Amino acid sequence: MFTTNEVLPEDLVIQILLWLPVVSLLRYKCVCKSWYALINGQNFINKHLLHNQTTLTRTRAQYFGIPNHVATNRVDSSNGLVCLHGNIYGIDIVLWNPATNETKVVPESRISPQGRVSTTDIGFGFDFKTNEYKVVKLLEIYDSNPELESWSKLFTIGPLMGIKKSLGFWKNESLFLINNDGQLLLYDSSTQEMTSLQVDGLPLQMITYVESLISFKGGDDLEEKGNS
Amino acid sequence: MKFCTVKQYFDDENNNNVTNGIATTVIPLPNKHLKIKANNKEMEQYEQELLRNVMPQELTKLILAANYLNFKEALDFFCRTVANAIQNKSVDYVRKFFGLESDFEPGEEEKLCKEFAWSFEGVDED
Repeated sequence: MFTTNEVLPEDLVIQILLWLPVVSLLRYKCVCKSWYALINGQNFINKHLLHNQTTLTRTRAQYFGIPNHVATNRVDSSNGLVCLHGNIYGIDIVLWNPATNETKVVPESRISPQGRVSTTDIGFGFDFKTNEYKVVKLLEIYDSNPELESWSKLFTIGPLMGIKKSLGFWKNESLFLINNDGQLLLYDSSTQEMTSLQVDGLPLQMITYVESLISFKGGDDLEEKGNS
Repeated sequence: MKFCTVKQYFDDENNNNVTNGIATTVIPLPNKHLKIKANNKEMEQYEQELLRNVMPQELTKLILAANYLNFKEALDFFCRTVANAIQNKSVDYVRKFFGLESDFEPGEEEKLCKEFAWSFEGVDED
């Protein structure tokens, strides 16, 4: 079909591969051994993630099925990994890469503080100093009095009419909003433009997500846990 | 800064790295780019036009030319165009495109394909 008279050097091949979505990259691991090693390598994985985080892409709706229908009430995302917090098979927290479809169950915590305890929130993020991913569990203990803290006013947005609630920020300048009709809107505070995003269903929560190749090594897959 | 290499190219008559045809496509890019930098829609249209008029293999030459001329915006643009053109293609197509051959053992490749079987769904016909 083609006759190649120009063969691209590896660094230029990488430049092309950086623009590919994860699903294509997973497939192209089968091209040859050197591509397999390249795409699997931590170096390329990091470059690809960084590329996704820094390149401007169009906002588009992408739907993912949450694995094994984990009943989720809290979601957080960092570097293309999503942390689901719910309760199924007695499992509390699951890490998930929607792009590669890998899951990892976070083992139960053995910390049990004194007093009546309820979990109020789960946070998930990447610690640059220690190069680790961390899941943080916030507990509310009913024995002590919470200290009073004060909030400082950062800035005001608006006034905006007909808005029911806001969901979260996009790239530090735009704000996701839900209007009184249940539609999802994107408000750009610098240009004061409102765009309607055609999205089905009622969004509950907004997180910033970029695709990544990051893989979980070791530990339990969610499927395995379900069968034990 | 970008135009130093361009000037050098014109001065150097024995330049084999950039053929004339490629040069006429790459050189006008800076002007075009400056005009439509913020406008994603026009870039998309230009990309479609480029794909229609230029064979995928030619894009490879464009990439090499842009790289030689040290022209980052053009390089990014062409790489993205190639990526968009191949992202839904089969493994075989990609091999032919980059002039590569499979060096896996007979059973190995099948095992790998099974591991990511779902990523092979919806791939374009060759």
